[in-house]
Amino acid sequence: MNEVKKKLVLITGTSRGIGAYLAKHYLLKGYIVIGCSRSISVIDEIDYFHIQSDISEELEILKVFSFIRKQFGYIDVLINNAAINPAIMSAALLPYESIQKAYKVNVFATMLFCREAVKLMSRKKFGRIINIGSMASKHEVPGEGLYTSTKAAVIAYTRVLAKEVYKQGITANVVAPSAIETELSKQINVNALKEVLLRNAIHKMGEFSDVSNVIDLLINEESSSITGQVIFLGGV
Amino acid sequence: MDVLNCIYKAIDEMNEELEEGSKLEKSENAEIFGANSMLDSMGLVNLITIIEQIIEEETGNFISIADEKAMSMEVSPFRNVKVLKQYIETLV
Repeated sequence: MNEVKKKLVLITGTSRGIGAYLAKHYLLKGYIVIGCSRSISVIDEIDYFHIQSDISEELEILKVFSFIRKQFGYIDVLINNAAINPAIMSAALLPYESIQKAYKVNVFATMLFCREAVKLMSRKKFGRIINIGSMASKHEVPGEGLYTSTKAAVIAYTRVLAKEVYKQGITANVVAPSAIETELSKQINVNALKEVLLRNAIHKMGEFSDVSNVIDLLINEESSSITGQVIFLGGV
Repeated sequence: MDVLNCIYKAIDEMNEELEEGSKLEKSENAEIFGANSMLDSMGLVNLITIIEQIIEEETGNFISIADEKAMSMEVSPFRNVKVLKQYIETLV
């Protein structure tokens, strides 16, 4: 009898926040979870495999996929969650180094993870790609130009990708959470955050489970017709 | 490592899923990507992926075939099997 393979999800940025939550969530659901971050693993489970890597470097990303190919040979779900916000300041003052850092992690790494995942997924004729966006790309908050522009790039890229890979059984969507209490959101001024939340239908912070709830739907095998979509949470 | 053999193995794997009349020819002159090829752009991605994986299995090293150099070459390394073989030999 053929052994039924466990579903495998690759999640970037699993050392904290949404990434750590999603890793634990999918372990509970019986997935094999491959996580990566610059720091060491915070999860100790049999089906969790952590790769310490700096995803701003292409070579490091290739090593993650080399590990997956050698150990498992397949991937079902990719969740591009890792993101940084290195400079909250006026567009007129943004240092070039900060722009490079943000684009390398938020945009270039997302594109490279998608590129390599599509190669593996297309062999299996199945795949689900989730790129994490942000309500920032809707609200266009002053001082958030860098982060906002990277997330807008992720949306545009995902929508094109969805059209390219659909025939291979792969869907690609963006899930854009409202503000959730994470290390990343703590960087934002509390009053500014409150003001932005007032623009949403739901004025309070979001929950981690809001994110997993939508991702659960999108990665379902039956959700093959949902692709190229941007799902904003919190009534943005 | 015999690069031509790796390409042929990849073609065999591709052909398992392609319908009669759409299968790739196993010869050095077989066109991989272009007007007379059986492959569309995702088909090319699949073929390259399989070749990369076969090479990684045989050598233990991963090489990226569709790199910047390949994309900027005047004569595409994906034109036919012979040119692709020659290009991969420069990478391994």
